[in-house]
Amino acid sequence: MSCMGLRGWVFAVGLFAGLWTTPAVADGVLLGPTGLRAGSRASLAAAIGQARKANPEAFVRIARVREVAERAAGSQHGRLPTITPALKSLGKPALFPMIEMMAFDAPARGALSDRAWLALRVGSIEAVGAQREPMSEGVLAAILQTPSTEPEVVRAAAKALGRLGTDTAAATLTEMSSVPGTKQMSVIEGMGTVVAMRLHST
Amino acid sequence: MLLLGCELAGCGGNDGAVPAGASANPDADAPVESGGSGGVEGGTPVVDLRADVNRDGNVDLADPADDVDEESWDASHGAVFLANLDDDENACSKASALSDDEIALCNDAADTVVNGPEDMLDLARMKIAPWPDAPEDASGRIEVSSAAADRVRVFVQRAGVFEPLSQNGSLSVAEIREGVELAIEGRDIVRDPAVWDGFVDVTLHVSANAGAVSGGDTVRLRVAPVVLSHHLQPVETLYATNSPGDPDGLDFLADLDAAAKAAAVPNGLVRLTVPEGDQRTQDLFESGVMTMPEALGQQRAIRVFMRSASLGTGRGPRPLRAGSRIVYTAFRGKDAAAIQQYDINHDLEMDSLDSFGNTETIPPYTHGGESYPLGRIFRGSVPSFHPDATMSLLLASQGVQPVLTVNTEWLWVGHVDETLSFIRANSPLGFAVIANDPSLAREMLEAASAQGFGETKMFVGQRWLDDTGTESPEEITIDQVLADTGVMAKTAEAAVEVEAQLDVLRQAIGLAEEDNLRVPYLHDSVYGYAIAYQPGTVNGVVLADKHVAAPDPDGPEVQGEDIFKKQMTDTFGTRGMVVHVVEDWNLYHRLEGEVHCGSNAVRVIPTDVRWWETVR
Repeated sequence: MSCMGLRGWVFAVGLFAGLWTTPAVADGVLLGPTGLRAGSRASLAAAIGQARKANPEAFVRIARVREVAERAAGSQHGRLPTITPALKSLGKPALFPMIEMMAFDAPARGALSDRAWLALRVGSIEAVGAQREPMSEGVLAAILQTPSTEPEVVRAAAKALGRLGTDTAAATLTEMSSVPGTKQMSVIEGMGTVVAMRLHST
Repeated sequence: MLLLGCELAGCGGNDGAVPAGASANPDADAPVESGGSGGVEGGTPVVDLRADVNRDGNVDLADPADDVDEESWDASHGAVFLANLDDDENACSKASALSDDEIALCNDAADTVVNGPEDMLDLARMKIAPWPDAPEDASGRIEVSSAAADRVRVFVQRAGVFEPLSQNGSLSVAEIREGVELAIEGRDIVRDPAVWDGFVDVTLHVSANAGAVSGGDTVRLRVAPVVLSHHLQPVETLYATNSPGDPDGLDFLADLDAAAKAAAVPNGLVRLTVPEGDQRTQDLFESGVMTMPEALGQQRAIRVFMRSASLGTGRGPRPLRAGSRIVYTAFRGKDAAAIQQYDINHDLEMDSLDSFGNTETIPPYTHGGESYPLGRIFRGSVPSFHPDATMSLLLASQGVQPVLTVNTEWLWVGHVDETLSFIRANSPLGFAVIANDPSLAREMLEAASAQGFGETKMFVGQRWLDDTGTESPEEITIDQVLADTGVMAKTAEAAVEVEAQLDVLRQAIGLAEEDNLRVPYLHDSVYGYAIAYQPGTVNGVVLADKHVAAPDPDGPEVQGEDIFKKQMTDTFGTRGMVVHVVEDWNLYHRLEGEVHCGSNAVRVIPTDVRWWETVR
């Protein structure tokens, strides 16, 4: 018998059980398979499927974005590397490929550096937020509600949600704004964005 | 001039030459009589150390102006010396194996010899007046004030050669009798006034007649500060990182080269080979100058190249940004010093502020009774977002260009050059502030849209992501831009923030509206911070009084004319300046920079103002 310790057995059993009970749904770079509500997940999956048929090239481009993130990390000028402008420039066709990457299926992080990994996640949140697509609300809210307190991610998600300017986005932010903690200030900033969007549209 | 007897008798004052117990003549400029204590063997004692107190470039034993008040230092008098940090014989190693700290150690002051005739010129002279009849037992020594002892080196001329004084500073009887010439070099600049304020008191001590006669003469000198250049000084040499294999780089360099030629920049554009190909030339170094008086009203100058405190991605022996090493490998040499200052533990989240795009200089001005003849260092810094504290202290410690800061925390990159610049103007202030006007950009686009040009495209031909092999056109219509709530919201925020920056300038320099020129561009949001959405046309390089190189705004063209380019050229034109447009989209704008980030300049050393005359 090999000398696998208790921890190893527990891991192996857990892994086996996970494979047995969980459908083959991979992680996105920001959300795991259970990160989205079932209804939201189903409608987004359908939209992603349609988008892939309509514009497969956009998915190829988004798949390459991690290379851009790593390049940005190697030549950053600001505080952190950013790929937001590059992602924004891809426009509407990139929306569902980005949502897929964020919440459904994306290659594992692999050797991506900390800074590139951050640029990839924040850039995709900001670029999706810039499109103000109502269908992205479930993803953005879910990112904000994960236990993660990474400030750059939380702030980007709160602002992106706020930019939707919808009643439900405002309600989510309002509810979260009363919860003390590290996310609170970012959430309040997001609420300010809702107000700005409302003013802009009047 | 001299002080004899006081060491023993405690008679006070600083001028005099008397036997112990006699009174000194505090105003004496020549050897005084020995008084009535029974005479001094060796005749009238002479203890007289001179320096270039009157700042005429000479040390003159016959000129009282080099003696009066020599022990004090102010804007009207006092001797100056240079920190001898250049490498006149190009002897310093440029080896890549050297650590960041090791490569910084080498300079002409690092050894105990004078490094050739050029190096001799960098040393400030002092002279000891002869005491021809000094008795055989006369002894003398030179003492350096303790705070400066490790920061200066004093040489004495013996047999025609300057050699370092011994640790005890002793002089021979012959040297006391014949007089001797000394020379002093600074081994460093001022970095922290709490450690060393840049002053050194050099005292000549003489005793004779078995101690019956003793005394000293003290001269106060000050090391030259590093004075940074400002935009009213024409560019002497323009620099940019060479990028021979990059078509975008070739285009950028070609435009910049043409601008330099048009502006008659004396040495033109020099293409630098930079480690790791770091293209942000502006961020790597800042140039300044140290000067001291030279004969015939000239100045002896050592250029100073400050290495950015910005840290690279690695640690270990070479933690600093690799590209900034060029201060040692490309610039340090004859009459060119290179220095660095950094705190390895500074906050990496604020590291961008250590790039020298965040260190500019407000041109000279007077406001509210306060005069700044050398201008003021101008940086983005607030308590919650600031550059390396040790570099900030170094800059402030130079003491002749008081630092003014504005808030750049709202900017993604955080550099002061992103929104503000300075050009010469024929006005009481003497210069104009060029400021970004985000609201004006929106208004111009709204006006174009209202005139029926909403479908007109901006950024035609520009693209993103080409470095992955996938090109994504950046073209976008005016109406699409106006509908981008993110851009509009960040632009509105930026307008408020730029006004806050201008408020600082209004308070500090008395900036009037007629001296405040505006050029428009929108802002976008990255990580919640602002960054120029259109090319940031403030962020160019002022080449000469009438020439500036600025980014091409890249449209939109309305009725055949780029409305942003026209606004920019018209605005600069009001002050007689010609704009040389440089295409920087691919190489800089889309990578969070502009023309200024991609260039650097060494400017003509001003001759109309001397730092030593500006000291408060």
